[in-house]
Amino acid sequence: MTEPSLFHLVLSAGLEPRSARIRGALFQVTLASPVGDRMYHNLLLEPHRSASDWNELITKLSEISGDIIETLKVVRDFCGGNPAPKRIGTGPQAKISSTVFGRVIPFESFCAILLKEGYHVEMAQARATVRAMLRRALDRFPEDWKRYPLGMYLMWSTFRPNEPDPFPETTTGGDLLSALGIERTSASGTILAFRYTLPTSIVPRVPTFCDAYAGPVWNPYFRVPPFGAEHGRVRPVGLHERRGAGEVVHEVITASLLAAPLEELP
Amino acid sequence: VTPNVTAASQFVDPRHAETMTVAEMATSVRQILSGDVPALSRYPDDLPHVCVERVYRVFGAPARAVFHDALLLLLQRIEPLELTQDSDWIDELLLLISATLPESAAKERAISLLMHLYSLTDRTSLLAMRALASLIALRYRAPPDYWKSIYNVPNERLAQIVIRGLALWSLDEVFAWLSEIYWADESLAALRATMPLFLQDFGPEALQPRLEFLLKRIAAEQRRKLTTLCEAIGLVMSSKELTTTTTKLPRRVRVTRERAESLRLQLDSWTATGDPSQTRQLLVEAQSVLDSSACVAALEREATRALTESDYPKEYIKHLVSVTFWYVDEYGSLLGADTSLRLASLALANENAVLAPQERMRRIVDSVEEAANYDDEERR
Repeated sequence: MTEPSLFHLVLSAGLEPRSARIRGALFQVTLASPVGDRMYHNLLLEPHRSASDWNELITKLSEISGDIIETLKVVRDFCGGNPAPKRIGTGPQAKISSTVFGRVIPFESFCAILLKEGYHVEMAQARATVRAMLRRALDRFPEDWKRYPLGMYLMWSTFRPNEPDPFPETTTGGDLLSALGIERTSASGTILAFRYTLPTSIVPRVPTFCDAYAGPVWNPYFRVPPFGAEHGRVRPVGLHERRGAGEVVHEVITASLLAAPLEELP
Repeated sequence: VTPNVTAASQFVDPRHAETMTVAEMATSVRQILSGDVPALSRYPDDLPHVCVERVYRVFGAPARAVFHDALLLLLQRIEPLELTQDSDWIDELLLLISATLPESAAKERAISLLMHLYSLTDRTSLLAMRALASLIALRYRAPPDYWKSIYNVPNERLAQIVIRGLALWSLDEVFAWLSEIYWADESLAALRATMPLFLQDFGPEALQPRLEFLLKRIAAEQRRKLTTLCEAIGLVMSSKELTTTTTKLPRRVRVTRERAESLRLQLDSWTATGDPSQTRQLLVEAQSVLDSSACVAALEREATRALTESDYPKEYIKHLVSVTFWYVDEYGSLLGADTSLRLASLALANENAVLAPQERMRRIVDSVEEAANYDDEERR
């Protein structure tokens, strides 16, 4: 039996008096960003929240004026809460048989995380350190480097069932990024690839609406996995990929769990 | 749709950004930095300022100029209360300024606004450190004493800032400061975090002698850790430098006025009558707690006394000469050429005074031959 979706609740006859107002408020969100409509549909289709969760959101949405900023704040608070994460990383445990996971991240974004988290005070320092990491074997990493986080807030990782390399087999770097849902632009610079293992204490989970929309940055390629899905799936970019790579979310891990040296994709 | 959100939506599309005013751009940037309006990225853990910077990179020159002014406007309008209550967007703003203003015409104005912002912050707060880090990103060459003065508590991030601030002047400034401060794990961590950049910018040839200089001036435990760090980054310190440093450093403690005063009194009353190793120990500590001038004054005073007093014992002169040459050798790079030469001349004069006539003649002949060889080489 599936959990009710917001779509079912909002459209149900009993909620009709509030329904138009809530839909109006949420519709405003579709105008706030080029991918606001996708966020709206993902919210309506998210299958992993309980009826009481949705009723809480409906109540909060019905108490505000419908202003976009206010609406976004309600949705973010519903997902993330402040300061403690409320519904982030709470999807069902992913059913996968992989031991090695991977993620790609722009070189500059990773350096920015090290700067934000206080490991360095200047981007030049962070860049030089990451370049040094690229040249160094894992067993020669100093203790400081092993403490570096490989993400912020929540990590989105890809994998391939029973394969030692988590990244899809593709002929070119461009195809790999396409399968991972990444649009290359001149502004994004070079991309780093991390391969890592997860300790038993960290559980990979199916990504949910809240994982994608709780923070100040939205993932434009996220789509809500259906109820019962074993894991998420990346929405691929470009025309060549028919199917995106598998995707899970989990707590942020550190570089001590890297399974292979850092790689820089051209 | 509120006008503010419309502006933010336009901002993420560079074609629309070209037509925005400074005020509209400022509003949009602020909304994105504070998370009121979502930025878009395939990497949901991207930071808002990174997303904004990515959009900025594809702006044309006119939109960039508007963007720079918008950042200045936001910086100017920060209320003191926001520094304590709602500071995350300010943190993001400072990171954005560091990334986008270094090469802009708005840089000088940004520097004065950042200095003002720093004056409003709690000096131990993360925001204060971020403001200082932004000054460094903008390559603001504050006088070395300014950077040194902000290091009032052992703190790794603060130490990194001072190191980077001094590095805008020279590596010598960095290592002279590192040899002067109370050396703790924070200092080591800060140096370690900066080492890849120093290696990249200056190369191992420039770092090695300075690290050796530093190794001789820190306590044994920290020396061991720093040596391990040097080895980890592929720098092999010369064994001579590490094994011949026999001076036992006293346990470093926080520098107090009383300790400085006590050392000054010891230097004022110092004579070359004791054990040379104790003199070296006194000079090492005084050099780190006080400054070179106190040590130089003590050595000059005693050298002058040895030259002018006919009954000054010869064994004390030998002590004085060996200690003076050791001191010039150790700290010459900090003293400067004039002071080093003056001290060395005094030591030579005293050494000549105690030499036997034959030995003195042999040295004169040696030095004349050396000068002649030098002239020949110069001519070639």
